[in-house]
Amino acid sequence: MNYFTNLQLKTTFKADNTYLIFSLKKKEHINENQLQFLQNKLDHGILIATWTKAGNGNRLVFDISNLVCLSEYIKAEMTQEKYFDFISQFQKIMEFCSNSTMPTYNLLCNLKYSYYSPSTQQVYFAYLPVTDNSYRTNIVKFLYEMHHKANIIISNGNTMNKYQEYLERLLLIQKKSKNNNTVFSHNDLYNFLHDISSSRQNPDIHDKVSDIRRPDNKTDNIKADISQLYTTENYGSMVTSSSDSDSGHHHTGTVAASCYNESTSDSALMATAYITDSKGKKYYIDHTPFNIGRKGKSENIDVSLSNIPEVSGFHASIVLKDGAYFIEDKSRNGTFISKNKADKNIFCSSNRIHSSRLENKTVFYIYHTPFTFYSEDEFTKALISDTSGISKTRFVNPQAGASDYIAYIKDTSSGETIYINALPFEHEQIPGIKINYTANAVDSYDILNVSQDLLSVEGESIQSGSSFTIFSGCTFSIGSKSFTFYIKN
Amino acid sequence: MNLISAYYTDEGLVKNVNQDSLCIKAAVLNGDSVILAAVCDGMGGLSDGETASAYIISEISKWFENTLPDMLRNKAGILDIRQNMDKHLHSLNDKLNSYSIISGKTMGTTMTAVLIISSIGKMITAHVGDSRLYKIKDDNTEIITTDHSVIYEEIRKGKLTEEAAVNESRQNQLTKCMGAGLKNVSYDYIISPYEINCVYMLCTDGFIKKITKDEISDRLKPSVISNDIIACDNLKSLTELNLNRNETDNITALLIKLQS
Repeated sequence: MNYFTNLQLKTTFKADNTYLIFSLKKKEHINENQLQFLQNKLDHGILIATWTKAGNGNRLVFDISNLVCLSEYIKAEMTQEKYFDFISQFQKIMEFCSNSTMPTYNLLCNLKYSYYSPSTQQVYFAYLPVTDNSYRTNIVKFLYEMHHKANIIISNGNTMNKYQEYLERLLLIQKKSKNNNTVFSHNDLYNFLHDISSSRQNPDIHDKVSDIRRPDNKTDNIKADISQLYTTENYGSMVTSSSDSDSGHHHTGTVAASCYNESTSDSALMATAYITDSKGKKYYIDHTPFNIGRKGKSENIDVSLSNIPEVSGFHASIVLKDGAYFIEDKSRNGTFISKNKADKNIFCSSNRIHSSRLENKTVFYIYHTPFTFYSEDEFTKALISDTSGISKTRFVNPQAGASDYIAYIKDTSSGETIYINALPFEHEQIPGIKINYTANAVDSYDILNVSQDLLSVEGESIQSGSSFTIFSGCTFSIGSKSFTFYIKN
Repeated sequence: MNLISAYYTDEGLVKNVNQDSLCIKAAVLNGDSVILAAVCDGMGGLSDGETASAYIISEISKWFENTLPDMLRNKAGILDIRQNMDKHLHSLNDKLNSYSIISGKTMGTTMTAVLIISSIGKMITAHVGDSRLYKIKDDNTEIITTDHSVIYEEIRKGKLTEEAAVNESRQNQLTKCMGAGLKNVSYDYIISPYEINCVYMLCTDGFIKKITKDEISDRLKPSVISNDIIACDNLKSLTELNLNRNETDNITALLIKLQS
């Protein structure tokens, strides 16, 4: 199978026009019906071809005047929306070919010989109307190559990841398949594009990160567009420098280092919490809310108990709150947790929960169906690892030392740490002051000057009898001795 | 006042996505310099961490551009500016958490930022997580921030030595960060005078795990950092040192040096 490796293609210039010329071997035949059919299909993104005969063979000539080849165009930055518009246009071209009973694998899918019109904002492809099956494009490879060469301003990393995984999956399937072009159709691509556009994330946050730049490659620094970051109406003048961003030594810029490498390895999402049913089957809680009910997975139910009529459509949800898992009942017939393993009456009203925290090995019942919850050390974050098993995890473990102090004070001179286990707090080493919660607040702290003449907080003198709201990292001094206050959380 | 600044970032040997974000901003108001530098190290899922860190950096930048100038014009004191910054950061934290609920994906990020206000003669360091601020002088290098990590808690309590901590498997466990479903988390703030001809270096934890304080000092001390290009080259060489020592995490560092 010849995937355009031996194609005779060249670009020529004549007067003000540019042409792509495809030379066929003498024995190949042009499908004249297809050629005729494609004469006026520019609106569908198919270049018009002219057939010329030459002594040593045939030539198909495509007029590509005023078009930019995609390999060059995608080097310039483009928004993620524009990029997927390209993909979408390509999908429509594939669909057109298929609906016209023309094999899609005769589309000339090569970044150097695919084109874009800046004026019409359309992509154009040459179609090879040949009867010989020697020339077959690998569309998945073409999409994959474009994905990795395009300079995209990423506004939704989730979508980009999904698309990359989609292409990698198709490539893997292709490798195993004898016929590369049967693994992928315009319908597949259409469904995928539809799925990712309907699962658009909250625009609030992604709009705000739309100025994320994608670096050219692994080793280059991030390009930062500094010219648009400043307005003189806010500051008297702004320090600017040239956007010599390759070295990253300009003074100003906001950069987000989002960098994609070519990767052939899959990544697996493993949750650090999961539930098991009575048969031991595991359901990983890799997202929240994690829903259990009688409805199906297509209706946002993660564990479906479709054969139990007493289970509500949306029976219960496992949610994450303040770093801990909770199960919330949403049902008619109840969700139950018994604190006593020997409880013979598990399904009594006193065991019915509205919202209950899930600890490691908690057994809960969806109506009468038992599940056991497992959690590794109360972690609140998902674990990501690649197939090599190398953990790339970042965990938040706010429960670490939860039974310990709530705050501490560091004596700046001696380095000694004084732990605060309860409030209000007084200590002989810090005489004449008291630390307590700010009135009507549990996440704010005040230092009260009980009887000190020389108390100052962050350089501000605090009179005896007065209080001052302090923050984590706040320094205060009593005479010549200074201290720093830290909140543990 | 002149500013030397540089940054370098790399996604590391293993990861496909760089979840670190950073910013360096400098402005002049009525002849006085105002400088913001910040790094964020996103956590968790491939795109979630990147989104979280980029979002926080983006919003801190906007606060610097849109809110801070008015406060400075109204002669706000350093404590008021800190309070305003804290309020803003907590609002961003809540938005991250709300977004997590909607998207069903938990996301979080560390955040370490330095704000230098020359008209007041002070700098504010805002910090949560295990990214760091180093203050580097020719004769001394110190870590200004306190890691909010399980390992650091144990070091501080004397349960673990720093040497033993190097090989600890719990190195990536934080006790607090922005987002990740956490509420009412206290961020650390340090208000201090800033120093001229001193290098302030902010970095994510990937930058410091495989290199020593001496190696940092040798390449980044003020007498060596004489211009932007050398600053960038030296950050790059330290990054490459990390990579050669098989650092797998994202690696990001930036530095600023004020010169009279």
